[in-house]
Amino acid sequence: MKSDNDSVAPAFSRRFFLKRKIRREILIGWLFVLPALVMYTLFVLQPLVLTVRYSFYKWNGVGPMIWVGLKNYVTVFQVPNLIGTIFNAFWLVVWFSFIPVGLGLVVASVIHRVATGRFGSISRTVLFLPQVIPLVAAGIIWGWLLALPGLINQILKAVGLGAITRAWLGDFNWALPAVGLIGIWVLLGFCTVLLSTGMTKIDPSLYESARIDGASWFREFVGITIPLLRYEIGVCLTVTVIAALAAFDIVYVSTAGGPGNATAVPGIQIYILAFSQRSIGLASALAVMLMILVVVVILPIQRLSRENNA
Amino acid sequence: MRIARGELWTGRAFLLALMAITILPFISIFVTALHPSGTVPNGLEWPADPQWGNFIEAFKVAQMPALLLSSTFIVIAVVPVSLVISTMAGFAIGLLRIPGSSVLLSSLCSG
Repeated sequence: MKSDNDSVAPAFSRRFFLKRKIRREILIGWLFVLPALVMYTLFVLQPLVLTVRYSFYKWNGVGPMIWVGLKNYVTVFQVPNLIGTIFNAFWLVVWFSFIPVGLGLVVASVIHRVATGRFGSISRTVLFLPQVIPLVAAGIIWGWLLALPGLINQILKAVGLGAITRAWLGDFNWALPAVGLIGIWVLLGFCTVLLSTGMTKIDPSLYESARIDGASWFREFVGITIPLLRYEIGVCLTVTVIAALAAFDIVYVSTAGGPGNATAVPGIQIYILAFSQRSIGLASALAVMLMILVVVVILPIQRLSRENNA
Repeated sequence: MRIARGELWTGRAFLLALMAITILPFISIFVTALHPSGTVPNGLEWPADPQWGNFIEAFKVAQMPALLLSSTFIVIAVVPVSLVISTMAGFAIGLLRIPGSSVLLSSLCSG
């Protein structure tokens, strides 16, 4: 009886002690997280909450704030110039995201297949170069290249296409594709490098067996590369879609939203509304909508790449 | 691992062309930087009298030392602090397994 009691007591106290240890660990864990949490609250959460709050007011930044409820959101939907920026943003997704990712896949698989040695690493490095310069510099460089006396028009003239030269960034129909071209130039290297890294993880025996079966480059590409790179493609799409929807630097430097509103994206419009027209409320409403839009677009991409990967 | 010769060279030509397009803007801006200020150069034309002094001029006009000092200050101030804070948070989330860590992680990442 006594011995039984003896064996129970230490077990109980050990469990109790363990529990206390876990609790202590949790407390220490939270203490470790605390600084990050404070920073997060201060620099992410607080501006977010403030923006949402401003979006319900009519406010010029200094005067009194007038509660207007959802009127700012209604205005965004009603004014063609504002809702148009969101359509432009989706157009930009095609240029900033679909083309770089698609082209990046092709380039990465070409490198993987025909240029495994030094040539491959040189081409990866060169394609990555645009990523290391600031976006503002990219905008300025391309602003010159695409101008009326710029290099692009000179090349076109040299190959006998003088008839289609124009001020690309000043043309109503061509300004958005021209901005898109800048985006492709900047983002292609990022996609290529990420996808080629993913490709090196694919089991080479798969490619070998495909080649023994006489598979062409295209068959290999569709049958092996794309399915096994789903996760990397998902990452690429996420980053580039965010770059497109939240585009500001390139567009602001190269066209500032013009001509007219041909290249106005939400980022530009928010900036103009908030700092030139001083309607903070409306700008905040557009910003909140942009944020929701980004989340709505990104979530399915994330889910798709995760699920298929598992 | 045999690849048809035609395919090999098509692939390499494709890569070379793409590299040329990527590098072109850099060459263009470099050549433009060598032209005398006040002129608008025509594309890739090499200037008759390369103005290497433009670089020094730009360095002076933009007050580069002051700008670089600000950049250095930002780097010194920001990098260690964020490194320490994020390492601590990562350690806690990853190893100490505090409750609610997944929610915490996703919200920190989204921020």
